[in-house]
Amino acid sequence: MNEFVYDVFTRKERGDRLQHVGYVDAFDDETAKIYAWTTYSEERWFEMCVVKRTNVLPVNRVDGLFFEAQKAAHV
Amino acid sequence: MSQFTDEELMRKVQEGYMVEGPEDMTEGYRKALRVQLTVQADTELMSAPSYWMAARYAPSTNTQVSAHAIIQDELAHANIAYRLLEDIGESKEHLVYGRQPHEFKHPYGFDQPLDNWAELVVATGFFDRAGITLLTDVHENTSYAPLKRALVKIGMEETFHLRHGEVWMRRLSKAGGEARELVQRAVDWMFPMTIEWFGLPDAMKRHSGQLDFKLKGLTNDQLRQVWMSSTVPLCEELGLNAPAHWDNVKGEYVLDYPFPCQYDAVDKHWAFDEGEISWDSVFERWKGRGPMNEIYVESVQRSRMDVERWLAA
Amino acid sequence: MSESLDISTLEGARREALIRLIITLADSKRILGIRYSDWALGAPSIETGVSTSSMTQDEWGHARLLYAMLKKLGIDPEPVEHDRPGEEFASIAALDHEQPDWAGLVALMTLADGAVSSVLRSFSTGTLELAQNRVPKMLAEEEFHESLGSAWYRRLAATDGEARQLLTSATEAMLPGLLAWVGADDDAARHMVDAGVIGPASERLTAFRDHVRDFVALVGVDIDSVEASAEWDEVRGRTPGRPDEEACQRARGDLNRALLVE
Repeated sequence: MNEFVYDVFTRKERGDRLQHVGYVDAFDDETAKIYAWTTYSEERWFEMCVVKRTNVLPVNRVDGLFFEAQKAAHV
Repeated sequence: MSQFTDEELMRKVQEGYMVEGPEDMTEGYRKALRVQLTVQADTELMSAPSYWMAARYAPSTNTQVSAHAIIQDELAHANIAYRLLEDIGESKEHLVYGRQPHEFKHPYGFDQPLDNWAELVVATGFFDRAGITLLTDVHENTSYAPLKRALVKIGMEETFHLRHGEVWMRRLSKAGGEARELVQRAVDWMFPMTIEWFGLPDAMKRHSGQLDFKLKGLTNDQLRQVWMSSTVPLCEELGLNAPAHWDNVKGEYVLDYPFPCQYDAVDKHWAFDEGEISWDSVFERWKGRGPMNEIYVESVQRSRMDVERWLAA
Repeated sequence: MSESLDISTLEGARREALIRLIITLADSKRILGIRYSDWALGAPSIETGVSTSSMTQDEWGHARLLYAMLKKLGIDPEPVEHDRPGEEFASIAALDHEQPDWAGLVALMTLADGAVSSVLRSFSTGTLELAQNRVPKMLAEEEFHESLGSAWYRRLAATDGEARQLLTSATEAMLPGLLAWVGADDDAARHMVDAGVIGPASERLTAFRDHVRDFVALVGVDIDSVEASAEWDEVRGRTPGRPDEEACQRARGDLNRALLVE
């Protein structure tokens, strides 16, 4: 259906680290936000954001999901 | 692909090595994980239509809301598990929308119709308790790090579901009359259904690699005991008859009926009086799928093909 | 914001008009939730289904809050929710039948949900303190319904073929009834305007038209030339018709009445 993987990051409380909690498939940024908000509804997050996986740049690894996403983005 | 052999990886995970992705896996590990995740994903997914159909007729707005909160969670959990499968090289698209109803790997219990609110309540009390029993074990023991992380959310929400089930079982039992009778009738078919869900007894279990690769920690019989250790006391407390009791001599829960035994899906009746049957006939019944299998799968796949075609136009 | 209206002093026709307004809003939310719930599983992706299920719960939660407002008028909401015959349901006509396809549901999310929100927005800024206190939170929760609806509406409208056609016909079928409902201007509606409970019909209509103008233009509909339905039921404050019996049974919880123990 021509969708993209978005990784979901949340901060539970003020002062907490932003952490990776999961991912959703969506066709654009706007729907990715909605899908993330309704899928990861287990907490009242202080902050949530989504990042298109192809925009996550691996720094030290030459394997793993983010590396694979980079390869896919540049095909 | 992993730089290890199966044996090396088995040893490493037993020592605490966490697998982060396909690059760390052997083919044997990937296959065992794929089987485990497929069952998990399909179970979460197919719980949704079974709860959804019963939720339509729930007695009030509030009960419909709480049922939908559970459905929303189950769909989200299924989605997470399918995404984990996609990350190890499977196609979520195919798994959810491309398979025939009989190809799904969820337990037979989620091929059954839930006919009233009491059945939905007992399903969340029993089936979700089985789900959390299995997943807690995976969460505590799995060597697959992405799954371990995902299970934090899932465990939290499944606990809410079974609390919902227990609260309502209590409420309906207390109400007495028809409400109580319907709960008892639901317990009568769902208790053995859940017992069977945990699968082959350890003595007969074929080797699966899930324990060797540390994808789970407890055996089928141990998991069955964990489930009974909370379910049987709950039923006793509510004055509901459950066909099992604590055996002081054995130091474990024992079933009061021949296990496994035959089930009549139309009458929702376990043929205790016909005695024990072979596991092969259980597998055959499972393979034939239950009465709602096609309807449930169709309800999930309903619009996907149309919308894909539309978007391609 | 205008000064508050003392609900306990409402009498006669004004009181009846407020009851009608609350019930048509509450029933619309209740049935809208049912229509959403029917697509929570069959949505085109699991993610969309999760969001649809979340919207379902929002609508039902709002319905309960709205029905509960009746208590302040000395009416027990219990029989209103559980014992009314289908012909007394006052939900908007766009909700009378289940949407047969995903395009129809998308139209519902954008247009019908949008119409209910337009009237609620007007209600929340009126003189009724209950509405001032309770409705803004509902509207905030509704924001994502609108985003999801509009994202799908644009996506389907951008295709060339069946989806666009279905979306167009669903849009054309819904709009006249929605315009009549949003722009209600009979005696009861005018009582509410006079009491400052909602804004004037023209203001409500302008807000709704502005809200949907750009979307419906995507399927070639000019909102300013769509005529509101002429037929009107003054008793319920909606256009003639009623939700199908199945939806009413579900709204009342008929099939599990023996298990209604809360």
